Amino acid sequence: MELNDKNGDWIDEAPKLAALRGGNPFTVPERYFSELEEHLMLRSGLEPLTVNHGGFDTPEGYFESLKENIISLSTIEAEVERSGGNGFSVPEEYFSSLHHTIISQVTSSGKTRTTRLRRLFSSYASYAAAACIALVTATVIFFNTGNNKLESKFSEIPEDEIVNYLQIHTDAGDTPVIMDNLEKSTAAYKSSDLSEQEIKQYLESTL
Amino acid sequence: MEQVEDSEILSKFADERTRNEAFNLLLRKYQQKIYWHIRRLVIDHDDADDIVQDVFIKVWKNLANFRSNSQLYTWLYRIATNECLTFLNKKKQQNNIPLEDVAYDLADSLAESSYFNGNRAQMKLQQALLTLPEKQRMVFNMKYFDDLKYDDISEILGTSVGALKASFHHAVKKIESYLTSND
Repeated sequence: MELNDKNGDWIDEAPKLAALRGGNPFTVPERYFSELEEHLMLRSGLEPLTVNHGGFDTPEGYFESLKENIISLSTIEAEVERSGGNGFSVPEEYFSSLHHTIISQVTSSGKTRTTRLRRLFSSYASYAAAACIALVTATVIFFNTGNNKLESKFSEIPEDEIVNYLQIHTDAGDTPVIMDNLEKSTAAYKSSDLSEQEIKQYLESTL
Repeated sequence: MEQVEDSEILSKFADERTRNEAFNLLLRKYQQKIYWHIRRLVIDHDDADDIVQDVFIKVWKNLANFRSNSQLYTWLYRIATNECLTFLNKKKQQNNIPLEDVAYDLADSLAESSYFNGNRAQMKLQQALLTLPEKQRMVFNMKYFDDLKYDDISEILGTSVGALKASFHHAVKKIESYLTSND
């Protein structure tokens, strides 16, 4: 760049301006230009990484349709704004009472839950107790019914047949067993004048 | 320090192996000139810093395509000038103010700037410059501060030499009048 001393005729026309020539009132931070050089060298080194938008890509035809999409969206936005909202409405003073409604529901549902929990627990216990009682009752009934049936069957058989059966199918070894079982039937013994010894002798003679 | 020739910078830049070295040389030769050209137009140091970096990154990207039908430094000045115009227009659009009011904005930043230590007369000169239309201010700066030839300024701004001379002389009259009336 050459210094251009020609065309300096304005100097005579503007002495005040000419007097200020050569001065520079602007300053820069310390070490600005040395750091600027380093910074620019660094940035120039990073420039290849920005090629092709830094590797980012867009769908095919994106920018072609972008303009139309923006125009459509802005039209919709304008219409929504003009209509004063999103088109939906709520009952009068809805939001002012909403707070209280929610709080009261939360409070009452908390209490209900607690009561329900207790009931559930007690109903399980009562069901279990009922089931146990029913089982025991059924067991008792079952066994009692079985015994009664046996006894009722035996009572239908005539005495003569029982005697005949015992004469045919018993031997001397069964006498103690019969004697033991006869002791249990106290009513028969009480009404009889026979002693145990006499009954035993009878049984030995007949069996 | 001996200044390297533009032709050497360009030939080194053309070779990928010496590209970084060429860019380094270019920065050393021109970064301050370009910076001050920008700074006088946008006033604020931080704005000037942003713009000068953008300018040299553009230079880095496009220097390989530079055709020697113009001089390297006029090409650099043209990039810097266009970036400044873009910045000032953006400032106008962001604040939704007329371009002349951008000048008031710049004058305010001048008054508040911590990187201005001129005397009262120099402050007045800068205020006077901010009353000029943008392009006229550019012409004045390049002639008055950088002492560029009209042919070079014509190459930078794409304006005829005659128009530039007229623009400069009008600017001189306005400023002198401002300096005289505001004493």
